[in-house]
Amino acid sequence: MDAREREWMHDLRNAANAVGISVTLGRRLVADGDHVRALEALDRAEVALIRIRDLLRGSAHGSAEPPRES
Amino acid sequence: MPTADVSDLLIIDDDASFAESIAGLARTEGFAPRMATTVAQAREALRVGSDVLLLDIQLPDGSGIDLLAEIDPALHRRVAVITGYPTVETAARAVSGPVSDYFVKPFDPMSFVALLRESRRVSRNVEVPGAEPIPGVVAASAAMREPTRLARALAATEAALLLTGETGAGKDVFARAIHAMSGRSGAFVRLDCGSMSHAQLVERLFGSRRGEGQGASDVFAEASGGTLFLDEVPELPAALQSALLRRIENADELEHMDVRIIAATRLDPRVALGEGRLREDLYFRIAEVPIAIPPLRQRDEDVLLLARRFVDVFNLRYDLEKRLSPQSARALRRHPWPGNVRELRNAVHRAYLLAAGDELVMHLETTRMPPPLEMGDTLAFTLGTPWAEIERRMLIKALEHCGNDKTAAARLLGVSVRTVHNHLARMKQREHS
Repeated sequence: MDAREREWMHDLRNAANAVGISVTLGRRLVADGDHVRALEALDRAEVALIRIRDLLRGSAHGSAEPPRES
Repeated sequence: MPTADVSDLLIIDDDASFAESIAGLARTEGFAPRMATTVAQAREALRVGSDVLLLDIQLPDGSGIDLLAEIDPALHRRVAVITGYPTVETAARAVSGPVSDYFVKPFDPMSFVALLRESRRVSRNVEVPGAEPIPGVVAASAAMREPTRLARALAATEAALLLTGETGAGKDVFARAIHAMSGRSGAFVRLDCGSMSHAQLVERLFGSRRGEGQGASDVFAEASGGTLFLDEVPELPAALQSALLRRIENADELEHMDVRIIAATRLDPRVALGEGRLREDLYFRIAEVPIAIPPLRQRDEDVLLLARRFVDVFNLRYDLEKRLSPQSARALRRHPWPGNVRELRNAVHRAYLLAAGDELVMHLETTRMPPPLEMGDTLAFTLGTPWAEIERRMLIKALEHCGNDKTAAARLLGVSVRTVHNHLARMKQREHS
């Protein structure tokens, strides 16, 4: 895996992680009745999903490359 | 506001979205999170202990792996490494250090929650209930009641605080506790005015890019939305004190920067003002509320609590179950602790490492005996030696010890680099004459 692929994979892992943590947090905050913070958490999840979309679109258009299957 | 039941989480990660979410998740588990996004910020943040430290390997200005060697296991109870790009090498390096957990992104959020819960369970078993009135500060003595009350009451305000207290009394830990309780989302930035050259101070206080205006890379910009801790302010040269005052006022009134100032000095401010070491106008700006942190010798009840806390921390670190012997507890109470909490921690660590069995035996009187001969890093003086001669020999010894590094020698001696240079210049002048 070259440096660009490594960076792509790193960014993708980060964004996927942010989605998971933010959704878990959002669910807890909703359960606690803290809807303002829950929405903030869901906003962060949405932003991270957009990052994932852009990373995947970028790879489809050749501006970044996903790692090849090994 | 955090209470004594709140645990500390330090998150070192440059991914703001992830850090915010993990901080929120930790808050729901009763943790008070602090965040650092660069290696430089992390080095400052690591100076204050945590119950859990979450360290990302990939940071914008370096590798988190390099920070592992700088983590004091006595301060950070549980260290977890996270990475978005796992390799065998980083995993091997991580687990060879003080790391107990290794997460690969994306990880199951509940595995992180399990880590937090386990950490709190262990903490509750080793901590003295109610002995931590503000985060990171162990205190049950009457002498600490007023300073911790003031810290709690003023944390969320914009009041400029001046912390006074002897070297090692814990001014830095206190400042960080106030920042942690402040609710401010920006960074805690520390500037040690006593250990930097004039040029370094100018760069850190006023930015380095001439012609582009102030604030390009200065401590005010870094502390925006957070806290700027100015340690040993009277060590600043007079001209810089004046410029600092203007910088603080400009940041506030012209640049509308939201920077909370906490300053500190080991000197009595009245003496520093009287001797001209601290400008009066600067003093009134940075000392809206002075808070005096008492020396350890005035905190009788705290000595044993602190010592036990340190033993607990070392037990976790070394996975042992040592304890203080009854004789040691008595010795701890009798000792005057001129080096304050820092000296106590070092003494406990030394006794811990040297203890043959499960009981720590402290030989404090022995360690305080003056050395009979001058050797290694010790100096011996006969009563009546002129003060100037004591200073001269101390400076030479410190420079030898630090490989002629004047900044390190100044730090060792607790004076400014300027003071070291001035002494050296005077010594050379005397030799020529």
